[in-house]
Amino acid sequence: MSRVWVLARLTCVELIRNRFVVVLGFVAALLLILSSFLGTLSLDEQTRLLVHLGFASFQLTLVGLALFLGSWMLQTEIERQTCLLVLSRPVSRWEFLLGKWAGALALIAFFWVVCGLLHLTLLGFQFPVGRYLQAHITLLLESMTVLSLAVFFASFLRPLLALAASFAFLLAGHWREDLRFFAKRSRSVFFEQAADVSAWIFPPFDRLEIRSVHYLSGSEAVFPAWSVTHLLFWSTLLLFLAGLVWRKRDLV
Amino acid sequence: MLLRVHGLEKSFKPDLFKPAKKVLKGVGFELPRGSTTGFIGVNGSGKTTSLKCLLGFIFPDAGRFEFDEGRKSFDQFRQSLGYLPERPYFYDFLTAEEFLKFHWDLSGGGAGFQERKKQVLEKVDLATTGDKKLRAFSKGMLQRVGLAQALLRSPELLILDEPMSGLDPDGRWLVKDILREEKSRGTTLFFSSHLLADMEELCDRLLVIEEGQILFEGPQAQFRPEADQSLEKVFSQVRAAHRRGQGSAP
Repeated sequence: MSRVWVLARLTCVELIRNRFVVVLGFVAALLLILSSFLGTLSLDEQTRLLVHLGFASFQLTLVGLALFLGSWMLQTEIERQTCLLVLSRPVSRWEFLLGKWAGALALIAFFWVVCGLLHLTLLGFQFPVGRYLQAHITLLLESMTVLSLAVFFASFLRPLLALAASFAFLLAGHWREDLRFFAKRSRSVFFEQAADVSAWIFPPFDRLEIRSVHYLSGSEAVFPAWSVTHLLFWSTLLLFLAGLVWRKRDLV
Repeated sequence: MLLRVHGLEKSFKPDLFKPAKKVLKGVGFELPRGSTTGFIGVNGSGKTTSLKCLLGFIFPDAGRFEFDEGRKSFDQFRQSLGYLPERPYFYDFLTAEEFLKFHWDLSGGGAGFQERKKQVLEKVDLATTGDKKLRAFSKGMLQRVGLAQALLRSPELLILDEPMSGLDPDGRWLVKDILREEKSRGTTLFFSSHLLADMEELCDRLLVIEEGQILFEGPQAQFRPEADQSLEKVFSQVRAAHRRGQGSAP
């Protein structure tokens, strides 16, 4: 476990020192400030705009970060052959993969914390912190699942293909109910059944869309605990499958 | 015997529609404890692939390894191993000290890092690099910091892929000096190089590979019975003989 920690720490530090990540952080902050500015333009909807645009900009940043890191991380290690020295040490392929994944997740979590604090401050702590945390944690969960998806695809595909496949899964996960709706309208048993099955196959990202004023103000909406469990299972499974592929991959 | 390799075979498929190309065709060799073995072959002969199979970076289609007469597992073998790849790329944003600490921790950590770090950095003449990041290092400096990493845990076996490539004469002299010192310490050395003059000077055993097959394995004196013959000349003769299909070792 200590080797996973050593690898995760190095991955995180390397990423933080990378210019791309700094730029991304800057973009997230800029989007948030922009949403705050847009809020002042509307008379009654200032809070609503700040909540929605804020969460949307975090989603864009965190999920984008997860997509890019997950898709390129392993391939960069192979292309630059940096993984060779690491794996010449008594480090298993599982530990290597877990370390890289955990390092990327740590960076995402760091951004997530900073974004959350900034958002709460801009909102003037007008919503209960617990309620805000529940909504905000769905972002971390979504990013984690997307990271696992991208790592899984990157374990056997080229980075661009891995990025495309993960993005397709991300969209399908958000559009599960829409797919079901259109399948029902088609009146085809095949499409209906296919949509039902796909609703189980794709990660239930749509269920996490609780990031609204409605939820934050503590209405009767409940935290989607079942979907959270579902996504945690998804992440674990994808990481396990990625490990199985990575374990037997030739590093050429 | 520190290491025995039996019948390594490996094929690569350039792409989905092309037939697989056999890169290793039953490579087998031994590394006696305390020996210095030079791995000779032209580009594409299978040197790096053999080393990568040995280190577990590539999975051979056939063949097996025996570490320390079967007394050690692959993981135990890696505990006592130092490795330097052909083109050493490292994590750019680290300093030499951070890089060495990272490898120290990966190999189990423990006390004594500061002292050992000082020793190996002095050995490779990089003791004064301070906070300079690896991305600002020259090719020669990277090669030397890579060597420092390989020496960090006082390995029993040192595997070096082209350790002298890209080094200036001073750098080459330094690396050769380190290898001589390791040899006198009893470390088993196994390295590939195109610089046969260095092989001639350092190695007591040679391993010659051509098109994925071992053409010769044994003491240098046996490969080059006449001392006035250069290693380069004998190597060319052996290759030519192999191409004509007239046998292998002289």
